[in-house]
Amino acid sequence: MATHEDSTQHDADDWHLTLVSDDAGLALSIRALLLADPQARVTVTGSADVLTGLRSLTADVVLIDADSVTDIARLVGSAVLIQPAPVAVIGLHVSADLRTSDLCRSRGASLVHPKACGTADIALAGPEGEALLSALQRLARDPARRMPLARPPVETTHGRS
Amino acid sequence: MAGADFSADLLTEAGEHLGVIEPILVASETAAVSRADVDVLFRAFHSIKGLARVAGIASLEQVTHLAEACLYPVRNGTRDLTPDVIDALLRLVDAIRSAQATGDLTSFAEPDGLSTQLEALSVSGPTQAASLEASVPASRDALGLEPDMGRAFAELLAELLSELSEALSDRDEAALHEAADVLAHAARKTGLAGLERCARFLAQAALDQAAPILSGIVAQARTLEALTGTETGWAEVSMSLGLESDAGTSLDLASDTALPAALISRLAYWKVSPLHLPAVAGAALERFSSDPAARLAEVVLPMPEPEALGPLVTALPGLVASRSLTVDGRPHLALLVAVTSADMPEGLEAAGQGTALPGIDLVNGPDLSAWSVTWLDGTTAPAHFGDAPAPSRMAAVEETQVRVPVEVLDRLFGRIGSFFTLGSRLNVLASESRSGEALRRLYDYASSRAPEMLPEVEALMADRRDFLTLEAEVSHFISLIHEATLGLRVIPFENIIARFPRMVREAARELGKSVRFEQSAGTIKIDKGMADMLLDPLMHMIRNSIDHGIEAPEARAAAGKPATARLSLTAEQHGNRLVLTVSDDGRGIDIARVGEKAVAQRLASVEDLARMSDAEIARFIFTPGFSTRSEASTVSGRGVGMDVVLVNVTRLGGRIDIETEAGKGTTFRLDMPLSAAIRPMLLADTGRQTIGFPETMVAETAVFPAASVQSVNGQPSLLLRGRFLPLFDICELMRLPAPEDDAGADLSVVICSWKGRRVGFRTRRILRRAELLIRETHLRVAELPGVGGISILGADRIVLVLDPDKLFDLAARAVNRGLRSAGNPRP
Repeated sequence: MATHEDSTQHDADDWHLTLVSDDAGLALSIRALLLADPQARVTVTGSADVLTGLRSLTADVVLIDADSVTDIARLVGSAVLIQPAPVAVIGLHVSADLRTSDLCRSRGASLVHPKACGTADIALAGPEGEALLSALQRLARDPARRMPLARPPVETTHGRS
Repeated sequence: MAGADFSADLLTEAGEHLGVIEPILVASETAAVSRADVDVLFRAFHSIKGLARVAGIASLEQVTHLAEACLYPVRNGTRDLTPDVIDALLRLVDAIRSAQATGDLTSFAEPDGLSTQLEALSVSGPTQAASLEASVPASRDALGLEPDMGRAFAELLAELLSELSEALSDRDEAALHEAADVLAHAARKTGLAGLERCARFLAQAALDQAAPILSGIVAQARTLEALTGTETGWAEVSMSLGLESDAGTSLDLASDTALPAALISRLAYWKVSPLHLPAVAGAALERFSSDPAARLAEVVLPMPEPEALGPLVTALPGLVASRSLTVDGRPHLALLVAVTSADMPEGLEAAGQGTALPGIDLVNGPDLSAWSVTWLDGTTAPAHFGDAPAPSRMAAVEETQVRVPVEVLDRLFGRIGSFFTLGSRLNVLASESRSGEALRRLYDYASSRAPEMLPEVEALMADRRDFLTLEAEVSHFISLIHEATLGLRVIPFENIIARFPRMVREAARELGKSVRFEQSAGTIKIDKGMADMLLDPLMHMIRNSIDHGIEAPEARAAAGKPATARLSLTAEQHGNRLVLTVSDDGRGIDIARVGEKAVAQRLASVEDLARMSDAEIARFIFTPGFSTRSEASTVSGRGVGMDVVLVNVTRLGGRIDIETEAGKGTTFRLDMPLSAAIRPMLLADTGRQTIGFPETMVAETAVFPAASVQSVNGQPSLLLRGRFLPLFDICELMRLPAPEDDAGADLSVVICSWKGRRVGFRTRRILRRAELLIRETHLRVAELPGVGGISILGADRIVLVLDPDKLFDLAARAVNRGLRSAGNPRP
């Protein structure tokens, strides 16, 4: 299983994000994003290992990199079924005005976030990332938001519309 | 209708999987199969098994499961993909193809004893001692569940969803909690922790909070149904709860930013849809509208530390997109940046390779060697990405692709063909109508004798001018439609020849020969109709090579050749032409034997043969019914085939060249236009018939006085720029009905050049250039002397389209027979 976990000490307030992605650039961006929260830890697992990874890993939030409808269909529903943690989606074409966003939510995603600048989305390391970080923190720490709903009140994130 | 669509989808999908399986199996006989290929095989059989399950074809599901069982030890590396396994799997492929050919996958019939064969093979591997059950875990579904477990859980979920929905509508909290508890327990046992968590929430929820939680469970039930293929009843519960249903998954893409085309094409490399720009990319690209001098730069750097990324993002101007990239096996980050003059006041225009961008020193310090900055201007290709990604890789485009049955495209093409014909009629009206001349005369008459009629005549003339303009515009748009639709019917050439390795394998086996078949088609795509016309000819040629050309292993050994023969098929695109080469290293064509047979069949005299080159003699094999074999094999040798090859290639506007050398082998080279349906022609009139000279053979046209014909060694000729040009009357050459006596009239000559020969053909009138749609040509028409096809001009005028090879052959034979055509006085 191809996973990589940041080795940092943690306490009870720490929260743990599992990123499902095959993109080293996006993993870098998410790591850079989470630098702003010293209590966040991240584990990256490849999409080929998603079943094994999500069964064996404990996470407070699962973030799925889904740039295509195929990725959404393949990964999101399965992750929601087998992971007790809330599932969030980050992708190229999932802004709120697109039906792919509805598709993510109908598969049970608790948060849908469109990428701001390409598959690696390094803008997450700058001010653009603040909205996602806040949303992930709320998901990880607020049990009420962890409930996967078919039509949850989705976090408002950026996206051109 | 839905059932028919579903059935068609099953067939298509099964065909796609077979198309993957077959080449790997055939190739694995002669070369070691890679682990990746075995994985592909395994997945393909697994997918077919899934299709069989969905379609309820139990026998196919069972036998494909056994195929998986055979491959499992191969996948684990505990046994090889041996010829007996390959044979058994190919038997299965054949059986599925047979069912596919009937148009109904449910007609699948397992070949006799195949299950037993596969079962035996799955447990009899060299190191495979374990039983079938032990060696092959029941195939898991997309959730990693055993099929039975997934199905059983889905059935239970269907019952529980119904109970939950009923409890909610009856406002029976106890029943709701009880059913939710059962669901949580079952989900935990099944390993569906996400669903378990939802069920636990529901088991503790008050009635007023239950509906949204249940909607989450319904969403998961929907996923489970999609993954296991077992109904969960989610749709009914969703309706009874009044939940919204998905309107679908298509993307509504819209853009309010007009981007330069060059930028749009660039974005494909970055997997960014120009129709829906991400926030940062959109803002960055708007810089182009504010600063016309703005330039795009591509920056590639080794993957930095996370800590360095924030400062970089803040400092970089105009970030459009970012993506990962592997350079020399190491992960890199690539950035697309829109830089304006304000970002680089010191000189954006002069910036070139290696010019630093603001902010890039924040990652690697001042050392720029680790960076690569490429300025992308105009259509400069990105430096690092190689070929542009296929558009289908973009989600947006994936969603907008549709599968269109070929027959629908055929109908569309038929109608476009009719449209083209209408355009052609319009063109004839415009270019050959006598109304222009009549109007001029009317104008002259009115000017001199009836000036009061001049306004009406001028109005008619203005209408005619408008008509001519309209005709030109219509012709232009028909050309554009033609160009746009040509791409609709193209299919990868690779798909057409994918079945050949298998055919070679079977034919070689049957004839006791050993053949290594190589094929290469690159990324060439051709029209489906053209593919249909080429498939049979290519199969004939390959079979002929194996049967006639390639020697038995003993004979090859005796000749000092490797026992395994080489046979290759390559497809190359040269400009707008497709060149197919079929080559073998066999014994070559027995020219003496072909010559003897040609004389025996009265196709040529001994004297003719003496004058002919080997390549010319070899062409007798294209004569219908010609075979040097006294007995036919099951593979070839009935004299049926090579003539079809020539006819089909000729119909496609192509030609065939043969190179053969005794003991060394034979090469057939088929050269034809990639777009054969509509071809540019020069039209000429014989007085009784319109002839189309393909533009590829026309060098020039000229009109000569009848008296300029001279006889050179008895051959009528014209003196053209100091050299004699042989002249032939096209009617006599093609045995067409002769026009009325026109002795003494000027000669309208089409001067043609083909394969180094230059000849003049006399017609009665040279008409004009036209693009003609070549109709499906009956074999009889294609066999007419000098004719390659027919077309229709205007409403009903038939045009005989010439075939350069055939026409020049006719001319050569006419010379040999001492025909004196063009200059002879007519009776």
